[in-house]
Amino acid sequence: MSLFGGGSECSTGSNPLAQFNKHSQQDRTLQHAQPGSSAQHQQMNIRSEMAMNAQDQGHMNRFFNAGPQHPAAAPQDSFNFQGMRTQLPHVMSQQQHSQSNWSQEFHQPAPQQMHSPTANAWSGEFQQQRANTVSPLSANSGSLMSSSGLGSSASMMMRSRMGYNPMLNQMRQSQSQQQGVQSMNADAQMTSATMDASEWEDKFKELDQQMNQTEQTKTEEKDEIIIDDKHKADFEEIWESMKNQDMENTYSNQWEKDFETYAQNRRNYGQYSFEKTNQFLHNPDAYEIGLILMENGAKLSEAALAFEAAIQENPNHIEAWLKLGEVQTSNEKEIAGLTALEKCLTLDPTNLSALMTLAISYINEGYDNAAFATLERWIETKYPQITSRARQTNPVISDEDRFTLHKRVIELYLQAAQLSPSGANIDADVQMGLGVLFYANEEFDKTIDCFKAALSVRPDDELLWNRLGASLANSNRSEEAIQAYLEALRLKPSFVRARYNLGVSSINIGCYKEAAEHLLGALSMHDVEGNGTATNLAYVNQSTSILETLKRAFLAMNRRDLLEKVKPTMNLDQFRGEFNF
Amino acid sequence: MSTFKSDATFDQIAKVLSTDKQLAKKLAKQTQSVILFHIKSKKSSQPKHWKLDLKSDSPSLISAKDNDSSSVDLEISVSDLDFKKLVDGKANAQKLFLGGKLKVKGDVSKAGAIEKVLSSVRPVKAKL
Repeated sequence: MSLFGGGSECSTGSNPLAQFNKHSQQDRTLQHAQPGSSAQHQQMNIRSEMAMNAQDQGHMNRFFNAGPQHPAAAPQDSFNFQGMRTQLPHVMSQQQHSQSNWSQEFHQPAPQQMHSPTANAWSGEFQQQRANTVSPLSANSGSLMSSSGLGSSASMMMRSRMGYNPMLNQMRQSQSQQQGVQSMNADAQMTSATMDASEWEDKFKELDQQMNQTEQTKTEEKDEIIIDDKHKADFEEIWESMKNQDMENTYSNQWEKDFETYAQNRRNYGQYSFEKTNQFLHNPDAYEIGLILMENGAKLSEAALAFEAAIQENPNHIEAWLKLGEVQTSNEKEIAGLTALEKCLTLDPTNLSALMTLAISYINEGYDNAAFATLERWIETKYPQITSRARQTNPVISDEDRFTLHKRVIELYLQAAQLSPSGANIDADVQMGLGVLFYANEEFDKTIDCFKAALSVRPDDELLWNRLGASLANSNRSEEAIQAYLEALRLKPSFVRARYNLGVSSINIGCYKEAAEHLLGALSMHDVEGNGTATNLAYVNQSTSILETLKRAFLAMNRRDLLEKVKPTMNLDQFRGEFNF
Repeated sequence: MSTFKSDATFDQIAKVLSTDKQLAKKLAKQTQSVILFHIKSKKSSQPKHWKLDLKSDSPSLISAKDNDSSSVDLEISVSDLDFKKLVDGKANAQKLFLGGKLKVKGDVSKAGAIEKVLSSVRPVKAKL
């Protein structure tokens, strides 16, 4: 690559070739720095490297062919160089990411090389400064963020890499100084931001000293600051996304990024809220009790309480979180189910059941992109050969809008479905995922086909029957939908969601009284015996959807008197005289 | 038989407002405005007008006349079909507005209230 170093005939100050040169030389130094490890690296990551090289090669060839032959066409050619410029950082960061064995060593020189040339004069000192300050800073930054309200600067940091933006580090430092000794005021921050390079140098030395002085005080202080859980979580989120931003340039990560972007960057429901009264609390066998309750067709709310108790005993009980999520979604408590499943996935990111159930919850709540990304992760976990093949043929993902994401994920599921097109080998989960993807695009006929194919393998799956029913209902086939719901309820009478859906379909065909009965029946399933009667429904996790739909039914019946009784804490017995549930 | 598909929706909104007093009072408290709808249809040369009063103590929706824009905070012009899409949740008010299919005159900040009113009559979706 040093070929370009000699300065080609068209190289001028503004020529992008100069920029390219810089990048290529940087790249080269890295190779020199660790000559022994590059062979290893090649082995480790042979696939993506090949893809990269092919791309790189294309640009190189274009340059070699076009450059010398048409020196006059330099302006047009500059586009090619621009392309290379964007490619090269990818190469760099790919190496950074993949070569885990030496990435730590790499990490030290890396930020230095990212500095702009003007910063070279003082960057060495800056590095030192950073090395000195970074450890107390990162240890302390949790409290920093929360106590000094750095919300906006945190998001700024998210966008810039560590050490990439010295200005920001300076700001950060000065803020930490403020925290520590309160010797710097806002004024100083402003002036420091506008200082030129030489002043920076002085400033750094000064800061360095102050830093050392205050380090001790800060570590003491740290223990006293009580970090709010929520803020801590915020910080961790930002930290996570910072790391993700760092990796963004790598192609392989661009695929994984979907999950981060769509599944984790949507509205946050926060932590799962546990019920206040729980008879299973502190019962060491709570998880097993929950499983037995589910097996025996007990009320889902009761099973949920058992799983909650198991989790409160051991917050890292992955299976319990999964079961809780599944139970709560079946219990028509979507938000509770969502939070439980998300928690399950943070503990076990490749839990197939949790991914599938969560994707369906996202669809129900209208977070289509999150659902697609979750389904993508599901297929990536279960059928890695399909996703890796797709990535090989199409390493670059350009667009990230809903349409392309949906198209890409549905393509993966279709390929997985083609592995076993018929007979007993059909993967019901692939069919289910495919059905959900069609459902999101309102292609209900295809959805129904998929769910029916899945049912041919698992005819006793009440969840599938309900999903088939919902697809039928949303394509205006309420009568058929009701049949499917009834089948689901025959298999599992405590399935609240199917009962709720039955109520919805009853409204849609004009049977309001029946609708009200189904909905009241669904609500009565949320009652857990032994909790008293009057405050039966005063639970932490409410199902607003059932209440809202019940209001609709009463409204359609012109029953204002009943409508006014519908409240989260109502006593269901007051409806018993009129409604049979 | 009415040529306007939106008539049924407006009838239902009127019914919700007169029946569900809790909801009606909440909406009125949040919005404090009077909104006039102009609905056009290809099937009819005469547009229809509806006045949604979310200001008075008893919020209401009544069929109105075109020139009845006194004390109106916001006027919305939309086609019958697009209004139906809006109610069914198949179109988004912002997109219709940007596409020039929905025209707004007056205090646009009051338009947020409409989404709430519409969601109260939107068909309930089954859940997977």
